[in-house]
Formats: sequence, C-alpha cells, structure tokens
Amino acid sequence: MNRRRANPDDPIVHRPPQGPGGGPWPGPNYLGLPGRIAIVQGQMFLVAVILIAQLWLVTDALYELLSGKTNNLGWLALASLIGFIIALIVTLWPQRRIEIS
Amino acid sequence: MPQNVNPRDEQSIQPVDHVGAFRASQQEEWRQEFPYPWDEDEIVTRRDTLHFLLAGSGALFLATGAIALIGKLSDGATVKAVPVAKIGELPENGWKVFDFPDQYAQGIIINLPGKGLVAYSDVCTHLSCAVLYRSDGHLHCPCHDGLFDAATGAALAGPPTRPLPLIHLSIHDGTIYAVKEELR
Repeated sequence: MNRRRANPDDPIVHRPPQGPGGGPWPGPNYLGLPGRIAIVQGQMFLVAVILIAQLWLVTDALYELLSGKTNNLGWLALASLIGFIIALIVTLWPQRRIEIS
Repeated sequence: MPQNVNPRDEQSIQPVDHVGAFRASQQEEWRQEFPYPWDEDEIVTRRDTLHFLLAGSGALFLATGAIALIGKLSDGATVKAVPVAKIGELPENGWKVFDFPDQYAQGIIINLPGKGLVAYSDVCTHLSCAVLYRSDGHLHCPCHDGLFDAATGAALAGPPTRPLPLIHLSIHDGTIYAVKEELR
C-alpha cells in the first residue's frame, strides 16, 4: 500500500521492540537504536514527573514560609532531596549500559 | 532532447539513475514549498533534555533547601518580650490591643471569665482585618463577619478557616509580657 507522507525524508517508523508475550520486559535486541531511544524517553518522562512534584514542593514551602509556618519546611526539603536522588538514579543508572552498545 | 553520445568515448558514458532523479526532484519540490533551514536548526537531543530536567530537579531541591534554611534561621530569631499590661489592669471581659512583636503587628489580650488572660494576634486569618473582642466570648472580624472562639482562638463561623495565632504571655514583677507568637 502506497501511503502518502508529509515529509518523504522521514525515516520509516517501526514498532518498538517488545518483551516476551507483550509484557513490560525488554525484548530481544532492546539495546538497539529504537530500544535506546525508548529508554531515554522513559527516563525523560520519569524525571519530568519528579520535577513537577518538586515544583509543587517548592511552591508549598514558599507558601508555608510566607505564612510563618516553619515546622514542615525541613520535611519538604527532605522530600525534594529524595526526588532529586531518584532523578539522579533514573538518569545515571542506565547511562553506561546504553552508551556501551 | 537526445544527447549526442559517442559510444567509443568512454568518458561520456554515464549511468542514468531515473528513480534517483525523480526522488531528488520530488524532494526539491517539497523543500521549495517548505524552505525550512534544517542546517541552521539547533538540534536538542533527548539526552540534552534529560540533563536539563535533571539540572532543574537539582535547582528546585536547592531552592526548597534554601527556603527551609531561611525558615529555620527566622524561627530561631530572638523576640524581645514586650510589656502589654499590668496585673489587675484588665477587668473580666476587659481587653486591650498591643504592638507585638513590633509596631507593624498587633495582638489582643483578653481577661476571660473563668479562664484568665489569653492573647492572640488580632489579624484575621481570612483577609488580615483586625478582630475585636465581644463580651459573649467571641472575637469578631467586622470585614466579613468572621467569628473566633476567644478561649481557644479557633475559627467558628464566617470565611476564616484557620485559628488565630496564639501569643504566649509571661508575668514578671507585676507586668504581663508577650514573649512569643505561635502560628497554628
């Protein structure tokens, strides 16, 4: 079937590699280019979610500070630190594996 | 238009890629319609975006930490005890407004029947109007009819939902001092 494409230069999009039985596990050759792209995209999604949560935390901290309530500020900073550590792990842990292949 | 090609001249014989030429002309056509300068485009890779997000996460943690630090430092700041009244100055249901902790903020001290002296910030927790004591045991905000319990400072009616900040009192040499404000 000859489909019309808006940009003929665009590469053909293949289905990403899937795990056995269609589950969440990585399929064969998951460190090929499409698999690595999917991994980095997943990392971006996770870190973006963490960033949004941290944005909420800093907003709440500022509100509490300006309201004169300082009891929970330490806990908010701790939660933000945990978010940052998780973001670091999400970013750095798979990096070596991705870049070796 | 046919070209004059001498078959004996090897230099002039070149394979003609009709399909390639057609594709090139097709590409040329849409590139003319959308003359986007691809070469000048600043490409941001997914990994660049990931590192940018990670840097943002670190910056937000630092900002939250700085806010917590500022809160800790301001929490430990010493507040000078302010004399507000003399013992026996306020009769039952008597009340008085005083400056605390400085001239830019006020508190209200009340001598409640059966409970004694209590003091709160007189700033309504709704929209910061000054509350007034009513002898029925309530503090009333005249701006939007907010009502607080004079015994506890809790919000009872109207728009306010948070209790009034409590002011701790101390008595020394017959003088009542306001020593600390507790936000609740």
